[in-house]
Amino acid sequence: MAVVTQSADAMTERAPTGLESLDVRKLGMWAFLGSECVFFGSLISMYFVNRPLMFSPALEAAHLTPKTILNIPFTGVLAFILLCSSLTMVLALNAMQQSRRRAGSFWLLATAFLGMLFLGGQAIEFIEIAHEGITLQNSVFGQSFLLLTGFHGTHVFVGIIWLLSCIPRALRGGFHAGNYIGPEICGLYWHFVDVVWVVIFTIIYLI
Amino acid sequence: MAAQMAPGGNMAQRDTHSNPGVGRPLGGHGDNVEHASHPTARFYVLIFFILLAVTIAEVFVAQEPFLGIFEGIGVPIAVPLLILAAVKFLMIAAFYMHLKQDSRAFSAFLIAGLILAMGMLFTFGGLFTAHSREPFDQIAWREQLAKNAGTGGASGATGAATTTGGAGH
Repeated sequence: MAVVTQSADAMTERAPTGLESLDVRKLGMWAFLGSECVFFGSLISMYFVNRPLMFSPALEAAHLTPKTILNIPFTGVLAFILLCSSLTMVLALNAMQQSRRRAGSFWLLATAFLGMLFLGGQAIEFIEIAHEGITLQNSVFGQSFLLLTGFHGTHVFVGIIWLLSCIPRALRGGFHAGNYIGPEICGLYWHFVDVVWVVIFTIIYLI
Repeated sequence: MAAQMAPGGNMAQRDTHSNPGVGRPLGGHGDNVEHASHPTARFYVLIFFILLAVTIAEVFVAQEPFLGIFEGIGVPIAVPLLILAAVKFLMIAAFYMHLKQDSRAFSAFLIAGLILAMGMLFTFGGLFTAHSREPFDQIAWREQLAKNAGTGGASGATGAATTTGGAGH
């Protein structure tokens, strides 16, 4: 009987070891982000496969190559905005970890605002490209570029909704030093969106 | 800083952010229990300025005179740009996404996804560049086909599209 009690106590007090000690929600988010790498990898592959078709003497004569269409300084500002949003996101998490409710909520709101600025900038870019006569239907560059950046923009939009949905609970003090897994997982998603833009900015705009 | 950033122990011990805690059922209350100090806000701001500097460097490297300098020494401009992008990628993943101090299991998911994505990129790149997709000048080619066929632009364009599809495969 004593042995049974001891083993029951041992089971109750046993520290989780190995993978079982990991937070399953965080593990799930990382599995999702791994799959997102493949998703964006497929879109970037499509861009590369189609890239030779975007440069030709006729297209260059008509100033319709990516180099002439894309506005790199403007996109550089968008990259800066998204980088700033990554900083505000990590500051929000830092404030939550210290139970600073108001600061955490403020930084979450700032992150969402910067995300909206980024989306606004992307909308301006799409409109400018449409004015050049490039659409999804009429050019290889239009298809490849708009699909890739459009899907990224969609991810930013989802991130903004997620951030805004965290703010009411943050204001009520739902996130604190003992529980900040919500903004932490949201932050992982947001930083991933930033990391994807780092790759897109380099491959599509600069190279 | 070194103490904050020091990696430690095995996979589980390094999950310092959201470890459900010793002796508690996994996923029970969903609370975080502190096991180690977190990086300070000042550290995150420092990382931000480094990332900003790298971003500015990227934009400058992609333009003259740096573009000409790299072409002059025979280095494709893609090389320095990809190195700078990799630096930014790694810094965001390590410090902002906390992979440096979290469990290596989380890093494994990201690395697996990246390997699959890179594999796909190189596979499709190889498939589509192994055979010539000439002519790339689609507009001139369609005009030429239309002229040869003598049946107008529409049928020439259709023929070009069909032939391009065949060449692509």
